[in-house]
Amino acid sequence: MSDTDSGDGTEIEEISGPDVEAIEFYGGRWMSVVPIGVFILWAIVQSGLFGIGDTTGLVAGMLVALIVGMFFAKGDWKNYANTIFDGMTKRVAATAVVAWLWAGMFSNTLQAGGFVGGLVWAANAADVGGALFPVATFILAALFTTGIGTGYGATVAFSALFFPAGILLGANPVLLFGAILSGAVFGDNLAPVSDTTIVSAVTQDADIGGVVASRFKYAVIAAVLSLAAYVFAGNAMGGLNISQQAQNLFVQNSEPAGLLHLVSMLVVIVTAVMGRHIVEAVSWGLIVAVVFNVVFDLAPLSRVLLFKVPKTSAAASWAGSLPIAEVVAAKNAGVTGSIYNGAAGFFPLIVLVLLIVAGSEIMIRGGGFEAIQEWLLENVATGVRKAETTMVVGTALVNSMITINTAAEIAIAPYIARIGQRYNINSYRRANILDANTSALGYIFPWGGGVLIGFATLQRLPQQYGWFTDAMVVQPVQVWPYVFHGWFLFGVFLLSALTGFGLEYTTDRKSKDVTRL
Amino acid sequence: MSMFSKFLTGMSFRSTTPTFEAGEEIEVYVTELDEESGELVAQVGETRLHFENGEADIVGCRVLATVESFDDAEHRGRVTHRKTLSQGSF
Repeated sequence: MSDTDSGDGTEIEEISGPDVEAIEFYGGRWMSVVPIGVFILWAIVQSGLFGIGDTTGLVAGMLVALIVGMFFAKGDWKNYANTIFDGMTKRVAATAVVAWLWAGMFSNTLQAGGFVGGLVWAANAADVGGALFPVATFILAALFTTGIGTGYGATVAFSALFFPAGILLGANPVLLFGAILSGAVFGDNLAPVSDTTIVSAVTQDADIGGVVASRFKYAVIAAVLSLAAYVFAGNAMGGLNISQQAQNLFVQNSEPAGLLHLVSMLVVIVTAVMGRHIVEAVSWGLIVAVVFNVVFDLAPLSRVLLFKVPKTSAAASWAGSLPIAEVVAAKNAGVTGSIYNGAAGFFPLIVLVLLIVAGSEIMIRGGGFEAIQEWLLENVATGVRKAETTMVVGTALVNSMITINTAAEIAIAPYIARIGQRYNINSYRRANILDANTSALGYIFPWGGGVLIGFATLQRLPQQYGWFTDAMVVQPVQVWPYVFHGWFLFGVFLLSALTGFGLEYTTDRKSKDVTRL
Repeated sequence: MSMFSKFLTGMSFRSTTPTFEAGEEIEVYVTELDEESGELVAQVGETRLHFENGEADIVGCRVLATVESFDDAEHRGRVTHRKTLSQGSF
C-alpha cells in the first residue's frame, strides 16, 4: 500500500521507494503461486476435510508453504528470503495488526462488563416467544457484533447464552443457530472495529468511517429481507419440547446494567464515523468501558487487568493489596484480564496474516499475480459489470475455501484493488464488495471459521445444562441454508454488480487518508 | 460532505459510461498505454479518457488530471495530467 499525497505536490519518484528485485521461478511466473497455492490446499484439507478450525495450524501451513515455494526459486535464495521480510513489513499488514489489538482489548472489556447479559435481559423484558426468538437473536447479535467488531466473539457469546435460552422458549435450534451466525455476518460487515472492515478499507486505500457509511445501504437491504425471513421461518419451523426452565435460565443470566455498554459502543461508532484515528476512537471506547465497569460495578478492575504475582516474588508481601494484583502459587504466575486476553486472542491471526502477505509479495515479485490478473482481465473481467461480478464471485469463492475469513480477505484483496482500479471503481465500492462477501461466506459453509467456533460452543452445552442433550446440538452441515443475512448480502452484491446499483467511480468522490478511521 | 449524506451517497443505478465536463478536475488511476495511439488512457467504467501528456511509468498510478474535452456520444475524452498522487494499491 502506498502513501497518499498530502497535497504538497509529492512526486512519484519520492514515493515509489527503492526498486525491488524480481524473483524468477523454475517453470515460469505461474510457479510463484506455489506458496499461496500450497497454503490454500493446506487450509482446505485442515478445515474442510479434517474440520479443524485452528488458526495456529494455518500458521504452520503457511510456514511450510513458504519453504516449499523456495525450492522453485531460481538462483540465490537470498532474494526470496528478503521478499518474505519485505512482505511482512508492509504497512497494510501493520495497520491491521494495530487495529486488531485495540479492537480485541475493547471487545473483551465489554464482555467482562456483562454486555451479553444485558441483551438477554432486554429480550426477557420484551417478552419474546419461541417463534420470534430467532429474529430477536438476529437483531441483538447484529447489534452486539457491530459494537465489538468480532463476529467470532459474538458467535461464542450468543451460542453459549442465547442458544439454550431460545431452545427452552421453543425456538427451532437450526434456525436459531442460523440467526446467531447472521448477526455475526451483519456486525462483521458493518462494525468500524471489525477486522474484516479494517482490512477491506486499508487494502483499498479508503478511510474506515467512509467505508462504514457507504456500505450501510447494502447491509440494511439484506437485513430487512433477513428480518422478514426469520419472522416467517420462526413461525413455520417448530421447536423442541423442553421442560419449563426458561424463566430460570433468563434470570440467571440477566444483568440489565450491562446495557450501559451501549454507550461504550456508541463512543467508538460515533468517533469512527466522525473520522478519528483508529487508535484514538477505540481507546476512548475502551476507557469509557473500563470506567463504566468499575463505577457501575459491572466488573472489578481485576477483570480488566490482573497481575498474578508469585509467592516467591520480593513484592509478594504488598502486591496483594493492589486492585490489579493477587499473590498466587509460583506455577500460576502470569498476567490476565480483558486487556491481556483481548490482545492475545489475535496473536495467531496476526502471525498468519503477516505470513500470507509475505506469500502474496512473493507472488507479486515472481509475476504470478500479474499472470492471474492478466488472465482475469482478458477472459473474465472484460467490462465494468463483468469486473464487478468477478470481484463478488471471486471473493465469495476464496472465502468459501479458506476457513479464517480475514485471511481469505487479505489473499483476495490485491485482486480486488487491481481489477477495480482498472475500471476506476471507487475505493469505497471495492472495499464494500470485498468485505460483504468475506463476512457473508465466512459464516455459511460447514468448514467456515464462524460456524466451527459456534459448533464448538454448542458442543459444550450438554455439560453445562442437565436438560441439554447431544441431540440438540446443531451440526455445521445443517445450518448453511438458514444463514439468511449471509445469503441475502451475497445476493444484494451480485445484483448490484450486475445492475450498477451503488456503483461509484474514483472520479465521483475521494476517500480520506487511509490512516484515519 | 455531511454525515447524513455519507450514508445516502451511491443510492442509484450507475451508468457504465460516466460523463465529464471540460475544465473538470478529476482523480483517476491510469489504466494503460494505448498501443494504437501511443497515449496514456484512464478507463472510468467503459468511458475512455486519453491523456495529452504524461510518461508511461505512471500506468497504474493515481493522478490528478483536468478534462480538456469530452464527447458524450462516443464516451471519449481528452485530459491533461497535472500531478501524480500515489501508486496504485499493491
